[in-house]
Amino acid sequence: MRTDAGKAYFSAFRTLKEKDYPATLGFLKSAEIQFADDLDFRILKETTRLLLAVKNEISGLENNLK
Amino acid sequence: MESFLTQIVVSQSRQVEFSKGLDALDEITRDSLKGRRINSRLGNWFAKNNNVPEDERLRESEILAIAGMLGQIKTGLDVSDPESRKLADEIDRWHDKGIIPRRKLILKMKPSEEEPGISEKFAELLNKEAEYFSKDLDNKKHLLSLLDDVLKSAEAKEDTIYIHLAGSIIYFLKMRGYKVGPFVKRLKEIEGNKLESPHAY
Repeated sequence: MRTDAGKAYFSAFRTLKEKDYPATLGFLKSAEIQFADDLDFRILKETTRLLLAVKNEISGLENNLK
Repeated sequence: MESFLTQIVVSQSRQVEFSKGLDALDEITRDSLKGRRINSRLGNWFAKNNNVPEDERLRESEILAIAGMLGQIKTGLDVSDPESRKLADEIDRWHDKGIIPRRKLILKMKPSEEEPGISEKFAELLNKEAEYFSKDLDNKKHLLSLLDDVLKSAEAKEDTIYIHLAGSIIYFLKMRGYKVGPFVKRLKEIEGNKLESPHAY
């Protein structure tokens, strides 16, 4: 049977397609236990994490300007 | 970064679609192991994924995953039923087309000096039962429903662990005042059939 981590990895792609980055990062964290050594996985997770951080930062700045 | 992630999604779109099929087969496998009827859903899955064995992009890990799940499902199919027989034949057809589980590597070594005694074997059985049972606890089902699932598994599977687990649950319920007569009757019938089987114990 499929592992929960394997399912989480593919769920991450589905939410990524919908541009739901917080959910994607959540799924990638769940998948980490199995794919932590996979380079593609690490790039995807770090890019998502960075993008979220940047978006949060921009959102914070915009709120300050209002 | 957003554009980069979009490109990843595009490049993985086939994988994502395929993973949905794997998830569906995984659900079918889990229900099959619980003794639930899966014929209709498995038939639909085969219809939807008919071209999978010929797909040259199929990765080895995907082949192994599908083959493993189909193998597990096949063990639970009652081949005396024509519909189940047809599904078992379809699983064989996939096997012939290369959807084959990895052969397990068996390392042979001298038997240890101390064979596990009956107490260790009993402890091992309890551990296996706890592992099986814990998978269903998250569903928040009543113990009577879980007992029904276990009895269905006992009926469908060769492994006699389900008979022992069912007996254990029945006794637990009895000690707490539940009426367990119908379950005892079902268990006795299943046990009688299994003991007649050449694979019993």
